[in-house]
Amino acid sequence: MSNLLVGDVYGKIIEAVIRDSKTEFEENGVSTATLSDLEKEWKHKLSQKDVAHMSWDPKPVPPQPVQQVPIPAQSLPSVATNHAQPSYSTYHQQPQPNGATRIKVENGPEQQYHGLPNSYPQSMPDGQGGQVRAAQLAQQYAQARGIAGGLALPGQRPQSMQPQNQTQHQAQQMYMHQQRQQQAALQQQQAQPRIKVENESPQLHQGGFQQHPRPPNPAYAQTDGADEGLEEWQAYIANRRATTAEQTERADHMMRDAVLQNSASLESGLMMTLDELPKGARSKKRQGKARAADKSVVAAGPSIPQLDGDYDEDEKPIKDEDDVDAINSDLDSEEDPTGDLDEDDDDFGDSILCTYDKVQRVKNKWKCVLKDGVMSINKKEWVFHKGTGEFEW
Amino acid sequence: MSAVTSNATFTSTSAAATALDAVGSTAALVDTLQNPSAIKTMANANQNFYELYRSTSIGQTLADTLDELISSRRIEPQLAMRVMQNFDQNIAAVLGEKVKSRLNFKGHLDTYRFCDEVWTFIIKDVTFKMVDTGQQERADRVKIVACQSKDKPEK
Repeated sequence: MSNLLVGDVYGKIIEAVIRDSKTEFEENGVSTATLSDLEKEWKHKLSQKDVAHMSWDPKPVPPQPVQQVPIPAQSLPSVATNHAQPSYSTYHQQPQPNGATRIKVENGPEQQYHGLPNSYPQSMPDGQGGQVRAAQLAQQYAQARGIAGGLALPGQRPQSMQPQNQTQHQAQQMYMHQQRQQQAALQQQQAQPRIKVENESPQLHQGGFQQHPRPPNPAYAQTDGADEGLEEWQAYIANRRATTAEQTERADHMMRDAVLQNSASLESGLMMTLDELPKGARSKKRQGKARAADKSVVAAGPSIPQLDGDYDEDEKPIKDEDDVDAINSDLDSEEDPTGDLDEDDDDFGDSILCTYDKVQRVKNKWKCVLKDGVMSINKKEWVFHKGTGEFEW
Repeated sequence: MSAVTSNATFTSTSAAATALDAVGSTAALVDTLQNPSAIKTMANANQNFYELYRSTSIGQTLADTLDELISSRRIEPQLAMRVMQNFDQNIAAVLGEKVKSRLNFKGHLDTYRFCDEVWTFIIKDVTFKMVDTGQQERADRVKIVACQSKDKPEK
């Protein structure tokens, strides 16, 4: 097993997924160009992660567009700085590789999603010729490079925006607004192709924009009607990224509380004076949630499950490492070891995701048989059909 | 547990967790890298496939790419979910059929957990050995998340 094998495996997975998704795309009326872009972008992102040598891997290729494209992009703002906003030049100074948002900002005043490119030359013919020339330059450059990547504007946008005639100030304000939105939504890859597409799109809107990739426009999400599907997807993504912390924290709290309960039940307040018991119980138990409950219990009587009968007798000395008077025992778990899992990330969290055939234990000797696994070890990825593990606990 | 999985049409982990909690399970405590990816998802032909592999780099890159396309309104979120389900299905198939390599590893078991038929191990000072190539790797700390194999009866 080696990284080369992993690359082949990943290539097969991508091929199979794209093949199976083709019918879905056709049923939904999505063009195959989008599917091709999906595949291309997927492979590009995988190559960027550099976890293995992919079968399609053109490792030196991705950096090249980043290096070459910024040159014309930089020339554009210089032409348009007469009308550029202060933030525009600020963004321009930022390093190119940082992402599409920076570069896109540079072309913002000239090319905006809301059809500004269409309105700019129309409404402000006096001093905006430089921007128009800059836009045409970028378009020519993009056409020369034959860049077809990136994301394109949806069809509705340009049609709805063309009739608009915005003043320069309104355009700038919208541009600023879009800047922030773009930065939030856009990824780093294919920054330059996107810019070029944006430059192309206003020219080609009327001529069949559907044939060209459309740049991403997170601003559209705000102006469109509500989309339940989009919300669902965003919720799914947000859940993926937030669930670990939430569940781990919850698990930690529950485990900690369970341990505290068990230890407290064992102690039964033998080691603490009666005067200290109420204070210890209320201040340390359940970290605030139980405080309210305990206080209410004190007032209303022993109705809380944690406090059976007279709380003076059953109240337990809640152990807390911070409490000087706390009773610590070996049974206490200082910290949930799985809490360290929050630190695990794709980059430096070694992990194995697989299925298990058998897990057995004899005393403290564990043996497991794993199947069909993907390993991420030392920032490299591996795959295995069958794995056998032996460890001691 | 079988009743829970048999009627599962979970497409989001939050929905899955809610449904499982309703039947008193402890699915919320399933601790995986990113999410309780041990929750099965319905794919076509009434087959369940683990969302486990979505936490891999290939799964995350696919999700990020789909997210970009959704943001640019090139595809619908429902289509993206379908693609992810296709991914679940295909990665399991490819790993089961195309990969033949074997692996041995040893280490010190720091933590183990078994919840909802999902094993989670934290192994320290692990040594991996690839049977085919003889290659060895070492890691200080590895987290293993394993769902029940499809070969075994789940019920």
